[in-house]
Amino acid sequence: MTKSEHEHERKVSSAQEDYLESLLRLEQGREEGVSLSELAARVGVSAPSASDVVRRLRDGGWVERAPRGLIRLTAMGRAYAEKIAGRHRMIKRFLTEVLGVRPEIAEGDACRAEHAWHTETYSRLEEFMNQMEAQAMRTEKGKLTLGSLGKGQRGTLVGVAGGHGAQVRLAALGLRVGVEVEVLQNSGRGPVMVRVGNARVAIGRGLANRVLVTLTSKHTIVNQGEGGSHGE
Amino acid sequence: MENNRVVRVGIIGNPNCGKTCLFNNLTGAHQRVGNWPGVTVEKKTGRYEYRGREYEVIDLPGTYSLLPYSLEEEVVERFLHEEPPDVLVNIVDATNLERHLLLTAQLLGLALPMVVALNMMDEAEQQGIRIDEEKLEQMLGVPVVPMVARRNKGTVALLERIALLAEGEAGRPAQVDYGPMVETALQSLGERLRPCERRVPVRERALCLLRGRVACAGDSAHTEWARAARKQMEEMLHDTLENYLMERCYAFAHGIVRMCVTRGLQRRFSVTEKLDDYLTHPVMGLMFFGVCMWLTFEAVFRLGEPLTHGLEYGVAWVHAWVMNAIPSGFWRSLVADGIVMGVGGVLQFLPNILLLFLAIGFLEDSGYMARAAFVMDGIMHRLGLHGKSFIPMLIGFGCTVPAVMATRALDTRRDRLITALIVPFMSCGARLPVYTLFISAFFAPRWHGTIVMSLYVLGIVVAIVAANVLGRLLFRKDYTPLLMELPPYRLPMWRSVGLLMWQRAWMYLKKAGTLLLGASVVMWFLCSYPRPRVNGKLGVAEHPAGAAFDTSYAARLGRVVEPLVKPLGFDWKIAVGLISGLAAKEAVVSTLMVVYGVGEEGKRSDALQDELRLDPLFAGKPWVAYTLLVFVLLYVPCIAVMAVFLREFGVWWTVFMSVYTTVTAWVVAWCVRAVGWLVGAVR
Repeated sequence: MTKSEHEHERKVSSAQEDYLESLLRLEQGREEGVSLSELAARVGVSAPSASDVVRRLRDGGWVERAPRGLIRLTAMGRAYAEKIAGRHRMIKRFLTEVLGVRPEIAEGDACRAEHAWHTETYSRLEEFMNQMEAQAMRTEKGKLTLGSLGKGQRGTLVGVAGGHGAQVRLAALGLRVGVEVEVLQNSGRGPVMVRVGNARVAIGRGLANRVLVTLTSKHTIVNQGEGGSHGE
Repeated sequence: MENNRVVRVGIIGNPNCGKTCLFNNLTGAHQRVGNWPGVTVEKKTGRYEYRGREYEVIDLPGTYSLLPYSLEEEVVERFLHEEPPDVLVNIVDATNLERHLLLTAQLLGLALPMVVALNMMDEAEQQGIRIDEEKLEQMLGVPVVPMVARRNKGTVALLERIALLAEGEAGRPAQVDYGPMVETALQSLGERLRPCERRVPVRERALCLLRGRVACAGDSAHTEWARAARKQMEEMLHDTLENYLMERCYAFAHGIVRMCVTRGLQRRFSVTEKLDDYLTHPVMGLMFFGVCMWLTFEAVFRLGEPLTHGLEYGVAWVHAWVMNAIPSGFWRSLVADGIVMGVGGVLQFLPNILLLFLAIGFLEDSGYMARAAFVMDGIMHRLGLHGKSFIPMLIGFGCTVPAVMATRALDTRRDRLITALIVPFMSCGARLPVYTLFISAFFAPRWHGTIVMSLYVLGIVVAIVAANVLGRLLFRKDYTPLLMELPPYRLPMWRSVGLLMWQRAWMYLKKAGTLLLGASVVMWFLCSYPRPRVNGKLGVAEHPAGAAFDTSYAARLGRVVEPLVKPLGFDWKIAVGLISGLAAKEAVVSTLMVVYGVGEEGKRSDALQDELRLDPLFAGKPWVAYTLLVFVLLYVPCIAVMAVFLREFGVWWTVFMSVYTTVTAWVVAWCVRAVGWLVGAVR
């Protein structure tokens, strides 16, 4: 963990990002690697000019040589390419689902926008999309966010909107789907405190607003904690 | 296993379940707490002997699961894979068994000799939780030892179990069933992996690969295969593999709890919840927190004062004794002025430091620290940090070094770095002597408290602004929500608080004995040599040391640096003091003593104050003194902080931290001076 992602981003130009993303798509389902001419065709340039960019990517440690003159992404390059691809999907979803842009136009715009904006814009957009997803899930019958529960109310956790990382992290603290939680402190601002099993956990406001629950009767005392109903 | 080898015992468990307590029980009085070389995050190690065999105990940082999210968890995972201990002690909380067994379930996969220490049996009993230990042992396939670590119960049984495991008593640890799909993948991946030699079992390595952890990869072909398999499985699951694996581990833990645990239906009375109603209340909680902090500082400074005075007399006495015992000359000057005054001047603050760590230890052990983070999270969040950052900042009032280390508890590198970068602005205990000196020299007693307070507040304000600016300029705004367990309130154990105090005191004494000793000897040399050939000018002729100083190396150095501090209204004498502050902030005081030639007198602690009052630089201009204090508050922290920064964040961040703090100090001090000009306090 010596380099932050932030530092990585500075070193890759948007053209290079295109190469990484194209490589990622070409590599799908193939273990042996990708040939240079194939990559050049995909990006839409000549093989000689592609080789130049590839050499620079190799120097940067993003791409490595595979047997038989082929190339492939390194673990670092793959992680980066997947991030760019994730951005692409996110922007496309935003364009089609929020703005109602036609998919073929959204595809082209997403291709350009995935490199062009400031990182802060991407993370704001991601936040927005997460919120939207949370809202969409909330409107399903009976689902509320943990952040909207008052002190003393109990709910059964049914899902976490946006970001699987958050879900695993919550689960490690005992906040997994199917478990019953009781809100111990919630002032409407700042973090929320819940009881889960025999432990008390503080959850930041933003995260609490993404945790979805169904309300359980306020006076249920039986079967709380340890034996909380397990979704099977 | 040969009989003469030291057995390595690793203690692992969730945060706050009594690992360190158990560690102290096992190692007892023989404990030797030391850093682990070559690893960024500290693991504590200690030793004990049992039945003629030596054991080394490793206290690992607390972790909830083996899927690493914070730096501490990553260290644990790496440790288990790369240097697995001979025996693993997994400590679990009997009052919250299901969640604690999640980690156990993951540890079983490592197939290391393991014993489960079932801690907090007394609390479980109070809550009507009954655990069938024998059945638990059978279902886990590893020995289980019930215990109460806080009361040192069950330690002997645990020692015996560890010894048996070290002798090679084999168990058959249960394995989590990950379901046919994952199991098949593990099987076929495991067959491919077989050729490479590692201590980690094949199944565990296969699992790591499937989870996409490259740390355990043997060959890139395996990684590729695992990636493809993972993708296929995730498509079928409509979920991530991590979620699925977690779910299976919980199913395992849940099954065991259902078979082994019975609990009464009565709702227990919980002191913790009653207290939390008030202490984490959005309004009352904040008020309580404020009062709590105020009391802490009052206690630290009020109670510390008489002790500090006592030590001051002690140092003066030793100085006088040296002056009598050694004939005048090089050695007397070195011992009396260089060593006794330099180190002694710093030792006076030991009581303050001890009291501060007593307070911090008390807050930590009682469980209140986590509540402070909870209460502050809302405010901190608006500043671009989160509640957990508050704890290092709090510790920073004591000493910046442990505060920088405390940032490890933060989950992302961004939060860690920003917090560590603003911690030096929290006014540490070592700066207090400088404030005390100047404030008592230039301000009326009734203003003393207010002025010290204003410096602390200024430090906090600068820290907040810096956090905001750093967050915007240097780091992408990541979304890192607060997620933290709040431990139950417990009465602090005097033993563990005492241990913390003792460790800090020892560290401080070591610092005084090494770094500060060296610095004062160097400063003494720089200030005393070369010897002057003519008597001094500048109106300090009546003090022989002052005259000697005027031509010394230190004075030359000070004159070189003078142009840099001139705009702030300081001269070369102050510059020398500030430079020596790099070694330690307290050194500013001891250096000024030498610079103003009051070292030889030594007996009167206010001699330096008189000298400062007479200096034309400050005479009648307390504003200049205040500007100096502002600069001392903010400029580059001492060498010890730089060293810990270097270890934690690398060269570049250390350089950046040093430069940006000094620039900030200069700019803020200049602004303070400019304000002084506007209101006519300086001419």
